[in-house]
Amino acid sequence: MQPLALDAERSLRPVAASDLDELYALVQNNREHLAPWMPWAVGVGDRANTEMFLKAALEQEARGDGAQLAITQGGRIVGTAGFHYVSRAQRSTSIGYWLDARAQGRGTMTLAVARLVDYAFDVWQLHRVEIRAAVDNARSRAIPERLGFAQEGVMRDGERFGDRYLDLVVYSMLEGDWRARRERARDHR
Amino acid sequence: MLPVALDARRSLRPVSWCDVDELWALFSSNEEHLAPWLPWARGSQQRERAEKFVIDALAQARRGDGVQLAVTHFGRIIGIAGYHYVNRPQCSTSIGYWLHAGAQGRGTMTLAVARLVDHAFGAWELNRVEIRAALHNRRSRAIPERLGFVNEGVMRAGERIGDGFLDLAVYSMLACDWPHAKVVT
Repeated sequence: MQPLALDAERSLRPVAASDLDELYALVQNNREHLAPWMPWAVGVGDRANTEMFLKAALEQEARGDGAQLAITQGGRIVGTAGFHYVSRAQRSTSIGYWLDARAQGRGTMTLAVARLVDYAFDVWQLHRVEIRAAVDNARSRAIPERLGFAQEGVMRDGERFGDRYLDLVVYSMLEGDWRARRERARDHR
Repeated sequence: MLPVALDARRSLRPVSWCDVDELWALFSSNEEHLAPWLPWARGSQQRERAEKFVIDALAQARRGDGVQLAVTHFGRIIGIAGYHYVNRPQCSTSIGYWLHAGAQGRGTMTLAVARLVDHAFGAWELNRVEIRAALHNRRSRAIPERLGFVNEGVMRAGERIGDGFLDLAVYSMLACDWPHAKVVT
């Protein structure tokens, strides 16, 4: 995947092995912020987890199964957004993301996810994009809701979290609805 | 997974290489019955399809990712029920099934799926069992409904079939609810 500009100061680019130090520091700083929602953020004591994430991301992109992107602001990484998989057979994908606590509230993730949805429908010609977010994670849920995704239901115990489980709200966007939405946005400009 | 008797006449057992010819015949005779719902059902390569199904099922069982079971009646295969995967980190699985058109209406699949759910929560100690069925496939949806599964929502365009897509009703059962689930047969 090529880098995608979001605006003058923010962009999306695939993660690289050389992001290890920066990404690891960011995850460390955001441990408290992420731990209630991201099982992987609970025990991030060592760099090996971040290293594994980067390695898996490169392998994923190499086999054409999606990509993980760094969201940058003024060249600094402020979060990641990526595809969990790309199913050519079902023409579907799923998107996940997290943002540095200090970078919240500026619409950055909404912009980033909108670009990924564009990419999924325009470049990969997919038909369905799914986003799952924990029922109580209002900030995460706000992203698909702002982007006009349909709420399909609640996946009970959808994410294991140590000894307990989180219920996940399942959202989806279909190809035709996304194109209609973009056309409406163009007409309004 | 060991063979499991459903009653005096019906049982469940893992598929084996010896089943290819019988499955081939069953696929062929149920093409029209299954084609509206199962993307793989229609096609000219039914023998290859039966072989591939068994090869994939054996590989899946070897890597501990679930099993595919033949539903039998007096030893004859009348359908298939199986797990799509076993996700150990999430403690979850998903079940799929189909039944020979001539064997419908006797509660066989409800019985079979109940045993698969028992196994998932019992032997495998999983937490969540999912069943997805096409929104308009009433017979398929009746299985999780009879077993007390909760309808969680509708996955739009969840299954690609030919040039189009089917919406899927998503059902789930959690381990904590299963022993008390009200089974209506």
